[in-house]
Amino acid sequence: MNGFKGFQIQNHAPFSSPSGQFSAELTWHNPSHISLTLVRKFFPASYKVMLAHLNQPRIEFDLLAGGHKIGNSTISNMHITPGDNTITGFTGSLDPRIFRNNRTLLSRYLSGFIAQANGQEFSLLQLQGVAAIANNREIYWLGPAIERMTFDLPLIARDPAHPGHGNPLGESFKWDFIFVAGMSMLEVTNGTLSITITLPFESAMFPVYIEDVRWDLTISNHQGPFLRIVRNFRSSSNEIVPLGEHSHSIRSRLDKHTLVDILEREIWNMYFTRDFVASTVVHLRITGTVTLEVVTPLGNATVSGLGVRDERWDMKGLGGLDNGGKSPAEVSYPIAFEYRKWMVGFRVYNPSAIEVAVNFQLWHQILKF
Amino acid sequence: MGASTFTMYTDRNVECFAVLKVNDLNLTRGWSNLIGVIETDEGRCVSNGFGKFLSMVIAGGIYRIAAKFVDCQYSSVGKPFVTGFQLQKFNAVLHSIKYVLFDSLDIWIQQDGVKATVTIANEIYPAMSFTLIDVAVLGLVEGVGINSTIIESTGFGSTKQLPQVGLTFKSSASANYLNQFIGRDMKLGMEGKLGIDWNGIQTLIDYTQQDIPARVRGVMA
Repeated sequence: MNGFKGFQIQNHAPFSSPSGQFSAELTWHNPSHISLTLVRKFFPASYKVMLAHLNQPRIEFDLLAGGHKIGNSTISNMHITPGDNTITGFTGSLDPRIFRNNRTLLSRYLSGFIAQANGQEFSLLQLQGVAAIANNREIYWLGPAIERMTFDLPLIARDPAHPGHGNPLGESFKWDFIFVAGMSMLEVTNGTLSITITLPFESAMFPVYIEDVRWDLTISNHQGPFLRIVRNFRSSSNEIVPLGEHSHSIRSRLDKHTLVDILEREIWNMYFTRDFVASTVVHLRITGTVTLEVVTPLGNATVSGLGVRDERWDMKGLGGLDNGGKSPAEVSYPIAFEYRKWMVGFRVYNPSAIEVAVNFQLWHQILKF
Repeated sequence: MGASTFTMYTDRNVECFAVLKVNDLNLTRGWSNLIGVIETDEGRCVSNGFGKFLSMVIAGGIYRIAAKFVDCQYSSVGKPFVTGFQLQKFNAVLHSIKYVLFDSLDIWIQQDGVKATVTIANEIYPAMSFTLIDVAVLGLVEGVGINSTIIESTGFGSTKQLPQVGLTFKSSASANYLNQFIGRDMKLGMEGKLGIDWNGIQTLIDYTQQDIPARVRGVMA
């Protein structure tokens, strides 16, 4: 049975009771052809049998985090067959006091949920076997095996709104930048960036207040990454709005103080600006992380691991200076003011969110900066 | 200061008719209203290109044209590297008011024939010369025309009476028909070709102007 490796706690709601008691479902894939039944009453097994006729059987575990015991858990009702199994009789106690004011542990614990939801390998908790007991005595044939067991215990958070446990950021990034693209330089002058973050560990018993947010985003085109945006801001500017039990909407205004780095100037010059000027749509991808500083009933924590990889961003371009032919430029009402020189009005439609400034002053200004 | 330069093309995108220079090309979201200067002394366009531009401008109306971003020129720091815009060609539209070239028309019915005196006006700075008037007079009787090869110049905002020329008729009957209009003030139209010389740029334009003040004078035959 491979040492019971591969246990997962499903539908876990952390800190959902003040005492730290929890009950959850365990899932486990039994690779063997052997069934194992631990029940409170005699259970007649009808196939390959490891028969147990036990009174009040239970398997006890310690719950460890980073090698330190933070609670215990018990499987009191287990009926395992070959293949996938769900074990409902899993209860335990996770002492919340251990997390209180232990920023490192709390941060790791909360970030673990994010990593898990992102499909990343993450092991914060381990189960360490303690004993297999029935009739108030150790089950002699199972106990020694249980005591040698230590395995990681992934936590899959309870998330009734989004069954399936998707990426907490999902495709919730919204982009609305206005850059000034002057010469070969670039400066963000205005715009917004918003995301909706789902925090799978948040509940009515464990409310989370987001205090600070840090973006670190890299924008790529088919040539590779070429632009990076880093932004730190505090929620005191009312840019973070709770959206119900799990979700927070974070809307960040970008301005001249937002740091924008051109990572690869050649890609910026040769590919991005050319595509941007000529195309109605510029196909970009965004990879980035969001880090939150949060305040919880157990203290402050840093939640990392929120992010997207290669999220598609189809940014509007200049459309060839005539909006892809839909908005021809206009040359209006020529008035001669000397021989061979006519003053005209010149209108150009810019369908994109990027403000283009092709002039010397801006270049000079940025150079000074 | 820096200027972005565009070359302007007729609708078929073959004939460059002018160079447009725009200072401080700032394109905000949506429409950006800028001021530009169209020049012809850049040597970038074919020699008769500007004649077409002049024709479009004087005749007035809306024309489909095309433009191409050429480059940027800067006054003090060498030519900077502006990417993405070079040689970008795009559709454009030229709007022009209709320039008024005829001020009035006097028709003289005389013993030796019917003559016309055309008074030209000029709304184009600083001065413009006429080299040809070949028009039909509208609103009088069919087949009346004025055909004159002239070289007369008029300054901006001024009028000038051209030398008297003979009115052409399709038939003598139509000449006699004019007698009934003697002494009457009318509004007539003129439609045809005009030869324009604008500081050495010569072009032949199709031109129509309605409601030209006109008067018929003379003695009954």
